[in-house]
Order: sequence, then C-alpha cells, then structure tokens
Amino acid sequence: MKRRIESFFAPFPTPTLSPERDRQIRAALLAAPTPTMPVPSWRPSIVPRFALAFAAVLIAVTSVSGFAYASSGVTRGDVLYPVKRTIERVEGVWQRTPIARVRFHSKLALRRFAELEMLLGQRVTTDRVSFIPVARAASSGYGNGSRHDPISLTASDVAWETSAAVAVVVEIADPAVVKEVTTVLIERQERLEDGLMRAARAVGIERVSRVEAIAQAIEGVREASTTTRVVAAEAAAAAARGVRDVRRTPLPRPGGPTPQSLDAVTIKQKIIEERSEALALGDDLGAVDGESGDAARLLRRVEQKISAADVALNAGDAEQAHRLLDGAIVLRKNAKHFVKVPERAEERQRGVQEDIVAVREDLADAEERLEVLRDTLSTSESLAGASELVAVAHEKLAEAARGLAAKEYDRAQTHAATAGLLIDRMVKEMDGVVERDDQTEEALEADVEREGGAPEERPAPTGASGEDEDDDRVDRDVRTPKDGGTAGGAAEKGSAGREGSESRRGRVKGQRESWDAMGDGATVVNPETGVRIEFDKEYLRPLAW
Amino acid sequence: MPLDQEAFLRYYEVFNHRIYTYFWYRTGFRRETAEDLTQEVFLKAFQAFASFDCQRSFAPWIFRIAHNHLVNHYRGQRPTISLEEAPELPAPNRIDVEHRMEWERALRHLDTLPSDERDLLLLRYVDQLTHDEIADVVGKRTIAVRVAVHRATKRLRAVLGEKVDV
Repeated sequence: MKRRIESFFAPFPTPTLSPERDRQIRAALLAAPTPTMPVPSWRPSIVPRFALAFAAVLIAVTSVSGFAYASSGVTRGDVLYPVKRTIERVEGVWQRTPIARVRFHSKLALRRFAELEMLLGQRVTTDRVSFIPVARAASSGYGNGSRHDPISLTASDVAWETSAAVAVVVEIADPAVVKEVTTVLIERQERLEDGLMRAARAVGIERVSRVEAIAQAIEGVREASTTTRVVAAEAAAAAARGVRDVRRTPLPRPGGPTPQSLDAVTIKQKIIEERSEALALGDDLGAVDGESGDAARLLRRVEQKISAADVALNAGDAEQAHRLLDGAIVLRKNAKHFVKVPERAEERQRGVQEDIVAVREDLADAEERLEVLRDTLSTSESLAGASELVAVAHEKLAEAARGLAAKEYDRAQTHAATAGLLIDRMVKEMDGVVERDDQTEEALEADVEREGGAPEERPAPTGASGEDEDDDRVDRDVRTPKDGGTAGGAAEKGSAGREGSESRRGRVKGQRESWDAMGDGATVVNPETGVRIEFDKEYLRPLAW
Repeated sequence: MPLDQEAFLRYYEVFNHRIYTYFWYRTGFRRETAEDLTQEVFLKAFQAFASFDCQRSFAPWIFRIAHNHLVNHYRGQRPTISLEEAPELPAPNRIDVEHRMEWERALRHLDTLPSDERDLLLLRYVDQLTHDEIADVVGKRTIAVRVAVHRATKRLRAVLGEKVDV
C-alpha cells in the first residue's frame, strides 16, 4: 500500500492557545517596553561593494601619495620616496610649455635641497640604504660610498635639477620672459649654492666621499649659474636689438629657416659648423694664458654634445639633435667667454694660489698641534682620526696644486676647500680629545678625594713643584709628556690639585672622539664673565673658570 | 501604539498557535508548560525584535528562538513526545474519537524513530516549515536537512511496513 507521507500526519492535531493565555500574552506584549525599531540590514549588491572597496583603496592611496609628495621628510631611503618621485615624474609630463618646465625643475631643485637639509638634520647614516658598501667605504676612509649615500645622491639631484631648469631656458622665445625667468633662477641658484656650502660644512667628515659629492654638486650649480647668466645676457642683448625670438640666439642665422622647419640636412650642416667652431676654439686655448682649464673642460662637454647630436640625427631624432646642438653652442660661447678675459683668469689664479697657501699654513699649524698632543697624551689611539684627516688633507692639497698647474681653477679651488674642511674637522677632533682628557682628570680627582687622599699626598709630577698656581697650570697643560715633561701652550688657570696628570694616561685610552665636542678656534669666551681668552696654537681649553 | 509593537502583534497573531503547537508536541503534550514557554518565547522575541531582518521570513526566526528556548528549558535533556512519559493523553480541541485513535496509532509509530528524525518530521509536516526554514532553525545546510528528512521518511515507512510516497 502506498500513500503520501502527509496523510500519515493528517490525524496530528494542531492545538491552539487557550483564549485566556492568548489575552495574557497580548497584555504582556503591550506592557513590555518598546524595543527599538528593527534596522533593515543593508545588503549592498556586488557592484556597490566593489565601488566601496575601490573608493577606500583610492582614498588610502591618495592620502599616502599626497603625504609622500608634499612632505620634505620623505627622503631617499624612505619607503615612500619612490612614490614621491613617481608622482613628480607624472607631474613633469604635464609641464608642456618651456616656462612651466623651468619652474618645475627649479621647484624640484629646491625640494631636493629641502630633503638634503632634512637628511643632514636627521644625521641619517647611509646604513639606511645599503650598509655594506658604505661601511666598506667608511672603513677605508675614502672609498666611493656616495653611490649608495642618500645625502650624496640628493646633493647630486639638486645640481641635476638646477641644470635641467637652465637647459629649458634656451627654449623660451620671448627675451623679456627669459630675463624674468633667469633673474629668478640666478637668485635661486645662489641660494642653493650657499645652502650646499652649509651642507658641506655640516656633513660629517667621516664621509669624505659625501663631502666630495656635495662639492661636485656645488660645482654643478655654479656651472648652471654661469650658463644662466650667459643666457640672460644674450637675451638682454637680443631684446636691445629688437629680436623677439631668442630661442635660436646661439645660431646666428637671421632670415634663415625657423627652428621648426630645420631639416636633417640643415642640422647636419650646423653640426659640422659647430664642430669646426669648437676645434678652432680648442686651438685658441693653447695660445691663450687664461682660464683655459675651465674653458677646456667646457669644450670637452661641447664635443660630447655635438657627438650626441650627431648620433641623435643619425637615429632620426632631429628634434633631439637640434636641442643638443643648441646646448653645445651655449656651452661653446661660455667657454669662449672664459678665454676672452685673461685678466680675470690671472686674478682667479692668484686667488686660488692664495687659498692653497692659506690652507697649507692651516694644515701645518694643525699638524704641529697634533704632534704636541701626540707627545703629551699617553696614547695616540684617540688621535688616529685626526692623523687620518691630515693624510687626506695633504692629498687634497696636492690635487689642488695639480689643478692649479693645469689651470683648472674650479677643480683646484674645490680641492682646497675640501682640505680646509678637513682641517676644521681635525681641529675639532683634537679639541674633543683634550676636553675628554680634562674630564677624565676631573673624574680621577673626584675618585681620589672620595678615597680620602689629599692631592699633596700624591707624588708630584716630574718637572713640577705643585706649589703655586703657575706651576700647577704648566703641569696640566703639559699633559705629562712621556719624556718627563715639556711645557705646552699657555692656558687659563685650572682648578686646584690638578697635578695628578700621571694618572690621566690610562683614562684617555680607548675613548672615541666626538666631532662636536668642542667649539672652533683658539678663542674661548667665559659664558659667565664674557672674558675672551686667546690661546696659542695648542688650543688647550681651560678646565675651569 | 508604536509601529514595531503593532507589527510584532501582527506576527504574533499569525504564529502564536504554531509556536504553541511546537511546544505542545515537545513537552509531552503538557498544556500549561507549552503555554508558558510560548509566552516566554514571544516576550523574548519582542525584546529582540530590533534585530529581526524585516526582509526575511519571520517563521525561521521565531522557530529558532523557540528551539533555543526549548533547549534551555530542558537544560540538555532532550524533549520527548513519548506517550509513556506523557501524564495524560492530550485532549486537543474538537477532535473526534476515531480521529484521536488514528493519531495515537501514528504517534506510537513515530515514537519508534530516533528523536532527531522525529523532530525533523514534526517540523516538516506538523509545523509546516520548508526545508530552508528548518535549516535556519536547526542551523544546518538545506541540502543536509533535505537528506535527513528523506531518511527519516524512509525509516518511518519501514516502521509502517508500507511504501510511503514522499
């Protein structure tokens, strides 16, 4: 027999609530506190859900990118730095007019400099980017660590953006606009040059390659500044002649074809002409006793640009070839400018010579002081850094001298300046050693006093009676030389009972120098009385006022 | 009268007897107990009415509350509809003697099934819930409920000694 299952359950009764209980329940429900209204759950369809996720991601990306772009705190080595540079590249694509591009590159130069300041302010070590090559460079002292150094790279970026801005200036047609733009550019270039000089002073001398990178950046900015001034002068001259389009100012072709209509044959002809001009200028350089070093350097770049223009033309890129040729012409005129003023060259040579002599004298003084310290301190380990700096400073001076002989005055001056910076650091190094030595002595005296030993109970140092202040001062300043005592330089009166300099020997040993431990120079001012005290070349600092 | 209260009372009018029937079968046909549980469940549901999704069916929601309330009521002891445990045979409203005898016979057959299968069949054919609604109440997937109901039906058919067309 077969029947549906529903028929099986058909006899099952479905009882109902009694009316009395039903009323009770209704009354209970009416008396119950009203719950809040049900909130219909919102179930977004798949499209709004994706839209929501997309919007959230977009907001997050925009926020992070905006922060990365706007913040000068995002520097090389930061995770967001590639984002920042990418946004800048995209921004650069939208700069269509030459004026906009000049402004853009100039702005980027300032931004790079702000990043450089930030990096120097943070005292960022190169370890953030790549530890090993920089550590190796630092350990060797003078290796090329700049390739991975954010400070060095950022300094190079400053120079690059500055040059890029100047390179676009030649594309501006209106001489009045050129004058206006170049005025702003020159002002900014001066600021950048000063800023880079400050950066070079602020940078830790332990990164010699970093100092050199900044020096190269300074040179790059100076070169860009020179070019800017030439372009500005030519634009002014063109404006005076009534020329409205100065884009082709380096190309003297009145009535000739417009830049847009220059075909490959014409460009090739111009390349040949420019090459002959450059060769002629090169011949002139040998006969002129002026700044031929700088002119020769510029001329080499002219030749490079001409070759690049030739290559671009052969590759079918006439526009690029034309641009390179224009750059070559500007540079050639710049080089010619140097050759035409031998009197300025002589003056420059004299100035560089004086710089080198002055730095050399400073180095000799510093070396003399180093020798005295080496004799008076018990160990020369703490002076190892200063000794290394002496060697590098000698090397830089030698390079400066070679640059002077080759009439490459910019290079000579840069090396001389670097040597000067090294000497400054060396002096600070030695000041730090002396200060720590004094602190060690004070700590030793405090220990002795705590132990109950009177200063006069200690054996008097060799060559010092310890009975009067003068003798006491001599003892302290002499630093108890190993040979039994040789008077060092004069210094301010020290605190009583400093004759225990024998005990200082071991305290200095093994201490690491600090670059910023002491002030500059040999003049110390008492902060309480305002009294200035001049010291001799040993630069010994008073232990107490 | 607030809107939510009015809405809930409408739901109550539809489901009060069904919930009472649910408890009546699962409390050994004890009328007082079933009524008490029904009242408690509706009061509890009213307080939780804010969490009810108006776009969904009310039946699985209220039966789910009833199911949980019953579990709490017995505190782990499974509800039973065994005739032997019932204090007295129920006296449903307006049920004739022949009908009552047939029902008692069906109950004895149903009582031979495992309690979970018996409960599923009651939910399906007495409480008139769909497979989807039963799945919501017992917290299982629909396909699992469908298979379980089918197996229970086959077992009941075997008990009855006849082929039951589901």
